[in-house]
Amino acid sequence: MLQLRHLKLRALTAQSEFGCDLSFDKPVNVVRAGNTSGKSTCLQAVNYALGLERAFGPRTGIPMTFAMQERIQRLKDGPYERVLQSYVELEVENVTGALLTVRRDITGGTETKLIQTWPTGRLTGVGPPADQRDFFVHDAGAAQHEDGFHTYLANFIGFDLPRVTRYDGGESPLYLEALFPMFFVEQKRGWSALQGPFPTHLQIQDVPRRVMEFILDLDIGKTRRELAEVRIQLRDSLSSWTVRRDDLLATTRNGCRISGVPVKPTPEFVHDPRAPIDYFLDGQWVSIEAALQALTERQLALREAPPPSSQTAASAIEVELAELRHSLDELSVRQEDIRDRERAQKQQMSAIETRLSDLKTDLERNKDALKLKELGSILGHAASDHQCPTCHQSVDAELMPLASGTGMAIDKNVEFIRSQIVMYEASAGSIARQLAELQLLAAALQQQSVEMRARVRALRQALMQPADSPSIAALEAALVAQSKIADLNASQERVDEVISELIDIAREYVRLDALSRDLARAGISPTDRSKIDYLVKTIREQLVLYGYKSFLPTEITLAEDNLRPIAEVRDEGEIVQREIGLNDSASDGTRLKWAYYLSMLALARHAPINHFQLNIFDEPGQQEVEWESMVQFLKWIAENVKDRQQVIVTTSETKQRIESALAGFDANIINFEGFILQPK
Amino acid sequence: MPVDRLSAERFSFVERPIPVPGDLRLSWRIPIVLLMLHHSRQNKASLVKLHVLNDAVRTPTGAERLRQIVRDQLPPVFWQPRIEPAFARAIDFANGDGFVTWVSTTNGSGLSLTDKSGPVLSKLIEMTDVLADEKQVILELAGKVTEGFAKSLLASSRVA
Repeated sequence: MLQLRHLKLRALTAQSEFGCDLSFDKPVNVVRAGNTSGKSTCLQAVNYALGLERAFGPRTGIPMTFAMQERIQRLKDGPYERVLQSYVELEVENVTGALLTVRRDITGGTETKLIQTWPTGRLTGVGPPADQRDFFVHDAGAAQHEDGFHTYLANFIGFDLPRVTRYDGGESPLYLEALFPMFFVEQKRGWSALQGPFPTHLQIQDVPRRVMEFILDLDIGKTRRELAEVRIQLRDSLSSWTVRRDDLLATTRNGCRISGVPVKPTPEFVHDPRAPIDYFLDGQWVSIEAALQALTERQLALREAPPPSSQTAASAIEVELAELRHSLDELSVRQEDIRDRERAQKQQMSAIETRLSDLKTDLERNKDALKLKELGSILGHAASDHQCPTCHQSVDAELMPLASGTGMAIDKNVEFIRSQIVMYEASAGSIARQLAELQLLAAALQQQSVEMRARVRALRQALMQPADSPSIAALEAALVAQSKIADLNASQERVDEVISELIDIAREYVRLDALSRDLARAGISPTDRSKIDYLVKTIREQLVLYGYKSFLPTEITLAEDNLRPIAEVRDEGEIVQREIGLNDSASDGTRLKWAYYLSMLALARHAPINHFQLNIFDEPGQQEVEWESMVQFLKWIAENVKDRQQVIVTTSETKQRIESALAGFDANIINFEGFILQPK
Repeated sequence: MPVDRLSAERFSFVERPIPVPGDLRLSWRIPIVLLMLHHSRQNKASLVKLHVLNDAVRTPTGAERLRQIVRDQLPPVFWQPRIEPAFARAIDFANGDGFVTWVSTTNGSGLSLTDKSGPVLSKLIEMTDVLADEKQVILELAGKVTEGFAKSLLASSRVA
């Protein structure tokens, strides 16, 4: 909560000291003065003092009128005096009753990015003297660092600003500047949009939605943030899974193949974690157990039979050599075949990848086209009604010059592309699996070929040995079997080790995955729904009072996505949503804006939401809205705004009219005849 | 099936709608034309420049090539001028709807935004989740591809 207590403006010239002092000591405050007499200057000064001027645009200059910066006059047509120094001071209060006085120089003083503060009521003389503390605004980190003014101000107001996503993918706090246009309706642009208009230069994605979710403290916003958090954890978990899985697959390149470890953790893996290892033995895949048994038997047989002498072994060696050469030839044919298959699969994969990427682009474009079509008639006849704006013939074929048929409806088209993507992705997945299998086989064959060549070398050496020495061919065979056994045992150990880690990761992943699904499914909570219903009800009640005519007040509701006012009307039996443009009836736009903003103030009395408990309306009598509506607006404020809420309205209506409209109510009418800034 | 039965039954054919690529959608393409003009100097651009930008917006390779030429990392001869009929149709529709009007520029005929495009453009800019990639390309290149630059691109691809 933020309440304004006192505003002090000063502009010093060589001759005199101009200024004004406005006390906002009641919930309802009306500042009345003629046109161009300084009302907007006072309100700009409030923004400026709070360092919130960029809520209304990206300009970096000082957003204050000429009179506070350059030259000032006492009376219309009077001589100008040059402003040498000027500043603004503002005293505010928060929900705990704590006071804060801020001062910011406009010209001729200290650095304009500096805001001096005192945690006491310096302007009204309330509170003990306190130490001055200086802050900066508009520097990088003003809203994030401890010594940034907006961090301090957000704390003072009692806001815990959420983190939001930026266009560049990074994060920033939801700056106070983004929120402020929902509390302060500025005269120039404020009445041109029902919501905000919000500043876009802050680079925050989807500002209206983020702002409304925060102000109304909607569960849906919290759920989304929690979901984002869970998704980050999921991503981390998946990446550590991938790293460990790759480790696992790399440990077993020596002719081993591991299956059963999925690319992504699955609940199945958690319940039944198995990673069977196969070994490529004698030209085929066998289980590691079978391979170990076969190798052990082979080793035993070699050990039991005494090594034959070279001479006796020679003929057997010759035979084996010939067989080996033949096998090697066959092997190289097989390897060549596998390489061909691999190449073909890779080509197919790359074609599918290109197609998938094209499909995804097309999907995005069709989805964009669908969203854009929802803009309705402002997008033109051609795009919205599918009618040529010139000859009024149907343009259902969209922009396809050669098409003789009708183009698919965009939503059907989006579905169509999605199903194609599913097919292609499935196909890509299957090719990827086949490729992996082929690569493993290629590696195993390579390993086998290396082993066979080594055997050929050993046999050749054996043939050249002295005739009576024991044949080293037999010894070598025994040694190879032994080292393979050791190798396979080591592989099994490594796999067991990594699997236990993978189980832990998978368990966590599965938990997070379930949580993220639950969060994604969670719709509007009952609390959110009751808040939105309350807003809609209060808006409709006010629209009746204000004489709103563009739609039936009962047709006005709030859009699901960012809670902007829209109309739901019956069109040939169907309920359709209509955007409410301010072009149709500008004065009705003004009425709706009053009702919309005040409904949130009303909600803030009933539910704990993140509202400033303050609304400032600069010249709400916009667009020649009838005086009777304005009276009802002022009355609604006077009847409903009390206790720790505050509304400030500026107007150039006559004093009598304001007083009669607020007769019988306890309102603070601050009246100025002539310029507000006067010599002191 | 006997012949007389065949002739006795009536056949009816239902025309099935055919899928339309997103970039041939009116509601996709007209906003693109408006955005290209919006980010050009004085909200106006020649057809030459619009065709150059159009090519960059449609494909990532086109965008990358134009980016490199703009940065002088690639000679302009690498630009292949393309005239896309659908784009020309989109311009006609935008004109028919009163969003743009024909003007003459230093580079021959061109288009300029009308006041009627104001509301739709402000909506387009507001909708940050729509046309994100396309907006980025236009924002990056529309200013850099000046009329002079577009002209030189075209000149470099002409046979001397």
